[in-house]
Amino acid sequence: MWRFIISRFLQAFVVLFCILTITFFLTALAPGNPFQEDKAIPKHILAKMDAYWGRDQPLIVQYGKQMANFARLDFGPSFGNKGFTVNEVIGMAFPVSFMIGFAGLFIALAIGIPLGVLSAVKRNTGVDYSLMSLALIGICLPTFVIGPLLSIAAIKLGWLPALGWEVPWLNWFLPGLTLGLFYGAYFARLTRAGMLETLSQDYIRTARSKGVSETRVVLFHALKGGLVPVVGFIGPAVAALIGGSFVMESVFQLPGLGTHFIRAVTNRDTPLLLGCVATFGLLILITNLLSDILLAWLNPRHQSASDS
Amino acid sequence: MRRGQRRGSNHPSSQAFSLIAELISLKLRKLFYGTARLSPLQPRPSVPVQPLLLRMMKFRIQAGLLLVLALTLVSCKRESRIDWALRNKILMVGNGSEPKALDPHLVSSVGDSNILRSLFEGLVTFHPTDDSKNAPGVAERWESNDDYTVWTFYFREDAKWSNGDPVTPSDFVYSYERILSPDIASPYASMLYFLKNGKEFNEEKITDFTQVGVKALDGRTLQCTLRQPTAFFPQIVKHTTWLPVHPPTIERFGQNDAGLRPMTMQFTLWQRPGNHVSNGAFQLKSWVINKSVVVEPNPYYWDAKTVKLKGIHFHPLSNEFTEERAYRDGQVHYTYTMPPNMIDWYRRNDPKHLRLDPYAGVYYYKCNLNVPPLDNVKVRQALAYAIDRKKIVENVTLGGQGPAYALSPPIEGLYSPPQVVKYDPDRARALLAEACYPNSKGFPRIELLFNTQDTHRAIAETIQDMWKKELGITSIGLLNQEWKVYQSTLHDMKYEMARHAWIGDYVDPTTFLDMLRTGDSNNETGWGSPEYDQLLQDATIAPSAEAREKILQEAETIAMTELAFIPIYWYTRTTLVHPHIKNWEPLLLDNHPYKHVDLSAE
Repeated sequence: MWRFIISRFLQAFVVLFCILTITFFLTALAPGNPFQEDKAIPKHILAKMDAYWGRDQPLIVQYGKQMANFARLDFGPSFGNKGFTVNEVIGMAFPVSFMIGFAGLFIALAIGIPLGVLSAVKRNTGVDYSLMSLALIGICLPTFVIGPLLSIAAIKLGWLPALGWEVPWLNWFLPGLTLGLFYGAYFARLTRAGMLETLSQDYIRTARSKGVSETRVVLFHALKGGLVPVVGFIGPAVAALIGGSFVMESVFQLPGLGTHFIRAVTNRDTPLLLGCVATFGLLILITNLLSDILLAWLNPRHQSASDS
Repeated sequence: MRRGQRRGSNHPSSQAFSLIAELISLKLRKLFYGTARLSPLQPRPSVPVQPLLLRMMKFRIQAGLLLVLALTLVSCKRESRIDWALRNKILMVGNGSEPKALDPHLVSSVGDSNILRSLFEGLVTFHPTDDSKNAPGVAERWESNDDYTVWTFYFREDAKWSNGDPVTPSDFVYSYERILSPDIASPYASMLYFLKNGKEFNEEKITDFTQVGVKALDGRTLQCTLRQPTAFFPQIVKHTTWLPVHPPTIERFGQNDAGLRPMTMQFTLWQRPGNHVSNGAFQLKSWVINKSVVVEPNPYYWDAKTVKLKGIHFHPLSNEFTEERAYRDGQVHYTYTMPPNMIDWYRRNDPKHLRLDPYAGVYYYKCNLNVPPLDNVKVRQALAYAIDRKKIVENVTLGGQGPAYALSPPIEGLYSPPQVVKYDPDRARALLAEACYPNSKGFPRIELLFNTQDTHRAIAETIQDMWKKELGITSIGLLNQEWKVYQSTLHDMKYEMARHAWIGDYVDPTTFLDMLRTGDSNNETGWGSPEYDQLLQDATIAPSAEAREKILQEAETIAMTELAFIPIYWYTRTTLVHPHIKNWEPLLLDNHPYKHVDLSAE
């Protein structure tokens, strides 16, 4: 197991290094100057700006500096949010995305797993069909439809703030619910599929024949195996959830990470973009690793396969 | 993790867990099978079924509790933010995008200026009801010599920084040296080219700042010597770039190992809450990226008794639909803009929130004169005359904008632009024929550039269609580029025809007309006319305001006949303004002095 974890960790760093290198050169090749504005900035001023921020140096030197910064986990100053370092920008935004993401994850699990189990148990009945149609609608309705709808409902009802991050303990709910409904629909379908497969296994038949109650069969014998596809999906889902989403943040006006990711691209803010890419990359790698470990625990066959 | 470990059914905690699971299973069974009936295969349950009466009682209690909870939720609506803001006198403003900086010398956008206007005060400041008028700021009075080239500002005694230091003329000299220093690379230093030798110092042609036309005569007098006569100079010094900074703070946070002058260090920690020192009605309280910039009253402000608000929250709401929802939810009192397609709804249903005020800005198409056939003035004229501007403002932009027949919008009591450009399709066809493209035959392909945005696309498509219908030109392509790419294409003159807009910096037609001077950094068309430049020059020494207006009209007539810029419409400010806001008059530059603004429910 340890060998597996360590080898995955090393792989992760190689992957991260490649991602950062590609991102750096892609942004360097993109047209547009981060300091140019709508009102033309005189050429001599623009040259001074480039010099001040080190953009006049050869590309390879800039690249070396960025990588050295990355090795120290310090991404240097942001070009777009001037006066702030990339670390500060991410440090301000990440907790917000983290909170919203986990709220979304828990709501998704709380909705998705029970509904999936219920569907599987009552397979091919009206309950199953209606639940799965609902889930399909949930998957098809993007967050930029659900989000504004919930937000408008909040305006009409006046129970919760419709958007913003002024009162975080009230503000987390609507974005969390939006994400939760969307991912919950996925989880429901995955749980159903996993449960159906598990319920048809021999050991379930054995359990039933031994007279174990149906509920016990479902909750104790089948659920663990049935959750395997869900756990496999949770890895990337968690990274996507807590990495922040530009759409969600723009709909609910949240100061999260997703906005920085997109703005860094549009502002040609290479240091911030690299910081976001590194954060997001790390998140994906860590959550995938965790979900692999969890999978190995849930399904020992998986573990022996990755160990060998 | 070994396989055997996952079963630990003898452990006490797992026994408790099975008990709970059995309880849940009973409930679930009811859900799954409709009754708590057990399947025939199963042995009798380990937990006895509760007596019916007890269960019914429990249900009643649960239902009752739920009802109470629901009623509480419905009845006690939370205090809306707008009420909270009213109670605490906090103005909440939608302010476009995240500020670039809170340093007056390093910004150029409208949103940034809005924040800085609350934090800083210049020599002269904005009038609450008419921004062609001036109100005293740090200077209590000012005067000029006869030909408007030397201006003297007399400082008030009680002007103070937010740390209690007095505001002195030398602070202003320091500030102007800072913004003009080439090393700080201020994006908008050109606003200070009004000062004698300002341009030369900024372009490193001279290095001695004492040669630049600004001088502290004594502890309360500042003298500005200008490059050329400028009768409206007090208008200019209201602009963000002319605001002062606190020298000791700049010096303290500008310390560096690179041996650079502290004043030329960009974006140091001085702009952070706690470090920031300003001299306006408000001071910086907090700044959270993408959330808000919060300012609170400056206790040392000389006119603190006029200040009514207890704070302003500037929210970077860059999505106009989100901003409109924020407004409806009572999270902002004032929006930066609004979705054009909602204007009509508000006009019909909620007119007291909607504000459509004239705004000193113009939307136009730039022609690159190095590209044939745009080098031919008749082609440019034909294109300009074939545009039905009235149709565009009525059907596309929808915000009550004015069809632009010239570059500078009319400024009441100051300037009425010449009516040169009009919709005249017959003349347009004739001109195109004269330019050797009768019926648009052989007209080369031109790409019309705009930055990716729905309104720009809609306008471009409408105009493309008008040119096709009126002139038969089918070879106009639409090219949209992402914002930064668009800027590069535009500023490097790699475009053929491009959409652009200009918002005035001060209330004077020259804020628009100066763009077309030969070689101006915002001209970017390759057009230049010595006659036009001369007229603008002559206007500076015109003997009277009427004579000046006439000369400027003459100049604009030349520009609008040559049409390197084809005007489309004049802006309006389309915003939602909450009725709680008081003393918020329509202003041509939309520069509201926050110290007069009040919140009240009446």
